[in-house]
Amino acid sequence: MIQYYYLGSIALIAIGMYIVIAKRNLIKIILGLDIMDTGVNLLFISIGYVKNATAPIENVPGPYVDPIPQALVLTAIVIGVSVMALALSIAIGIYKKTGTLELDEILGVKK
Amino acid sequence: MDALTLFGIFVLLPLVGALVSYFGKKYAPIIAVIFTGISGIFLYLWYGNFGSYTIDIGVKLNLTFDITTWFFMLMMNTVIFSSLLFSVSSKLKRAGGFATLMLLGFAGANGVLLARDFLSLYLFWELMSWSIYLLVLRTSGEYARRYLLFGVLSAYLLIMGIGIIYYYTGSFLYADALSGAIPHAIWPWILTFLILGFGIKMAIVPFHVWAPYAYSSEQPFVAFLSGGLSKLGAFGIFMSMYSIAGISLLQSFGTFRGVSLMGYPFALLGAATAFIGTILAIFQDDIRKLLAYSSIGQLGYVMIGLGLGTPLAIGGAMFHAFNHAFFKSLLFLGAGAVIYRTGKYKISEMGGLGYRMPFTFMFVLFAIFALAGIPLTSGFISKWMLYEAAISRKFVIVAPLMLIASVGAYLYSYRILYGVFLGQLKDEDKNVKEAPGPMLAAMFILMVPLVIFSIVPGWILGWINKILVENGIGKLNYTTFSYSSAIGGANMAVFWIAFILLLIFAMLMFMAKKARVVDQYDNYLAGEAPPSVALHAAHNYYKPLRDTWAPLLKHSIDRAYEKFSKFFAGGFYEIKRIYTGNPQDYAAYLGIAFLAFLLVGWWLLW
Amino acid sequence: MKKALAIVLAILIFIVFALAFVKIPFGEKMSTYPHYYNPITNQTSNMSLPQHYLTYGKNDTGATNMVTAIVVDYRGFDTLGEVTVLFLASTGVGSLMYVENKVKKKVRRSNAVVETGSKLLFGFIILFGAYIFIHGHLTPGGGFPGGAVIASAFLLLYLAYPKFHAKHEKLSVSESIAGLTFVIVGLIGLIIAGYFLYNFLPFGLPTYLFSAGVIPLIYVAIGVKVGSELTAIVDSMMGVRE
Repeated sequence: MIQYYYLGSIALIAIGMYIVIAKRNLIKIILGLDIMDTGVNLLFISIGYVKNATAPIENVPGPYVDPIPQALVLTAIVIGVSVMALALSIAIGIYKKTGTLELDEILGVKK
Repeated sequence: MDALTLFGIFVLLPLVGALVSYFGKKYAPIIAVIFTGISGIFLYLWYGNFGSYTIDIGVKLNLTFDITTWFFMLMMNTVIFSSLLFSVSSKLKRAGGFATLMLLGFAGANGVLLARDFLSLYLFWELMSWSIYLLVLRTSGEYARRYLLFGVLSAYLLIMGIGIIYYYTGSFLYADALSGAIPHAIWPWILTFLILGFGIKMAIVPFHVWAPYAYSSEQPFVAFLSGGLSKLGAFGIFMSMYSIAGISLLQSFGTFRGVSLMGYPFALLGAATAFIGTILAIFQDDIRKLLAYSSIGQLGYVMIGLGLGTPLAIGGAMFHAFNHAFFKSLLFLGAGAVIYRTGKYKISEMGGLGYRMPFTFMFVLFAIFALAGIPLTSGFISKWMLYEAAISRKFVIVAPLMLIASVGAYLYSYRILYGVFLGQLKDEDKNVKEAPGPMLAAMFILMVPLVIFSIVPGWILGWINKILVENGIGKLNYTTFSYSSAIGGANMAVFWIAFILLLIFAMLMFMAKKARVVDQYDNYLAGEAPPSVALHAAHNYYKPLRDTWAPLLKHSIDRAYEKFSKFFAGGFYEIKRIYTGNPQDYAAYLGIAFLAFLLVGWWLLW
Repeated sequence: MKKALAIVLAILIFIVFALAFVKIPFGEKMSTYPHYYNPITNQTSNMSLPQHYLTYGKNDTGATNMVTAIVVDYRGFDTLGEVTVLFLASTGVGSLMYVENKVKKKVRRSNAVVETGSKLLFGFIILFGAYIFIHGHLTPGGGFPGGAVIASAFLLLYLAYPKFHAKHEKLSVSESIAGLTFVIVGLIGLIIAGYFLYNFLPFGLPTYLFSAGVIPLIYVAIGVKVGSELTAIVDSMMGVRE
């Protein structure tokens, strides 16, 4: 069967990379970083899936899904949030200082 | 005598001296002179106490003290003693650092000579090489960079040779290299790397371009560099060709008129070096560069002797190295004295200094006789041995080149004599004083052995004979005053007796007839009486020769090196344009790197 | 030109990466690697790591939510580091957004439905968030989602009342106390048994609220800390309005 989850998360990573490289607006670049982040987290979780298994909470019997990627991704999401917060506040600071959010103009002003 | 005493006196004592003299400030050269004097005394006392030792200072060093080591150490010690004595009165800036670095170089040189295994050889070689770099750096960073490039190249070539030997035999000792573990076909590679590595220090063509620049630093240091440290290259080549490999191994690759085919290309290289060095020296105006090219040429002679490999040739090479140590240091010290007193270093600006600095003139005159190979001096014997070695086996390329180089040596020596010491004294030099006492003492110390060994070459030939016999090359026929070989020989007693008789005859003629001294201005000036006129023609001295040889002089190895480096610099500048400064480009580079990793991982796993 | 190259790069990465991942079967079985290595008894069991956690987790920690057991008990020290990262982010945002002169801007009041609805909902959302992090060891969730929900409650108030302002001093007090609680619990574990974050309270029976030793305490602390930090970030970014 086709692994939709893998393909979808890798597509998210590729889209995020394209946005970071090719877009000119600062906010869009930061959002591209966020999309890549989401893609990576999704990829991690989907590796741990076991068919016909339930969540790793032991009040019900039966095979459980792998709990370790979920523990790793819990941390990773929080870190992604803090990185986004810092990046956006830096973008706000750049806007206040140079009055624009276009990357070309910012680099031109700096030179 | 045990290992610790040997190592302590010859290596640790100069190191301690380096540390102590750093804090000496103005008196540092005097302290350094004392240290080198002490090690010289021990060297003299220990003649004959030969043996092999091992010492463990955390890493095991194998040392040896045999006649070859003793012979080269004698040169090294005398030259550095004189150089440091010279520098006592030479008003150097930051004299403490100078003395430290000279002693460090001396310790390194002693270590190279004492080594019995490649590890300690390399260790001390690098110590010496770095101290040279720092000493050249005191004068100019650009000259130091030129030296550094070739110094590092020499170190890498040495490492290549040593590495190949270690790979096959598993040990660094010299004696283990012949144990049979190395395949026969690998030996040419090893020998080529080692000889080229040592040869760069001897400034053979085409690796000579660092020498004229490095020899333009402080003259006492240059005397040590040229007189002492370049002989380490000769020592290294001798060790690798005849002590480690052995003459039978060299001849097993085929012989050409009795000379091993392995050594003959290096003899040709040496002949080319002698020729090119001498030709370039003729046209130099800067006295330091002239002496530098002359050094290159004379060391080419040593290379010829080492390449040819017959007992006469190697004996001649050793003797010539010995002579070169003394007369070249003497020349550099003389040039240093002139530069110190007049402040000029271009020959065309000097003139007539022989009247104001008579002792310096006398020393330089004798050294130039030795350089040119005038038959009264020991330089003549060494050159004659080399000529006989080449002619007796009928080498039609090496011998003529050597002879042309010898004529060229006379040409540039005369340029020094006439341009600096003879001729008309310039006005600004009218009050130049003689060189200060320590400088004269240093030059005297160097001249005395030259004179002694001109009269009694048998001492040196005795040592050299021992070296040759110990390394299984053959022996020389010599007596106290002469030597003889298959096609002749040279007898110094005859020459000196003839010289003394002729001198007496000339003195009698001079005093008998009414000889008068002719004044400089006693010239035909067509009735005019100018206040002062320049009658001394030292500018562009060999112009007719230069015009004749113009097509030959168009090619220059210096310019070839510069074109080579410009080509690479342009390429690297283009590569620098990767750094655009735009962060999105860097993100793109990261993406490309990620893709590359994926592809490589793919290829590795499937 | 740059866009074309970027599209090509993205497509290439997608293709190569996807072709690599297609070889990994999706959901066939739990991973069997690595083998669990017990540092105390210095032996390697033949169970894989996830299997070990699932089999022995309930006895070792007393919690029924295995993810919580891993995050707080087996890998509790990493969680401490991660809480530090959040603290750094909050400090960074606060210092970057610091404004000295307060700007007086004219803002429009929201309409009455929004105001009343948000006043009603605020309590329930806080309750829900607290429920998530208090029951972290029994149900899915835990400190981090719970804290995020609490922050979203404050965000609702920010959106509904333009002049609303959470008090920074109280936020920082609650954040600091929560962080200190985490560290003190760990130090008490160090004093009692020699391991930092040793689980020293009695385990109790599984599926009960008061079970799993020290885990609910830690998660409560984390929940309060994350909630106050995210609220502080939102507050800094909203700017200062009078």
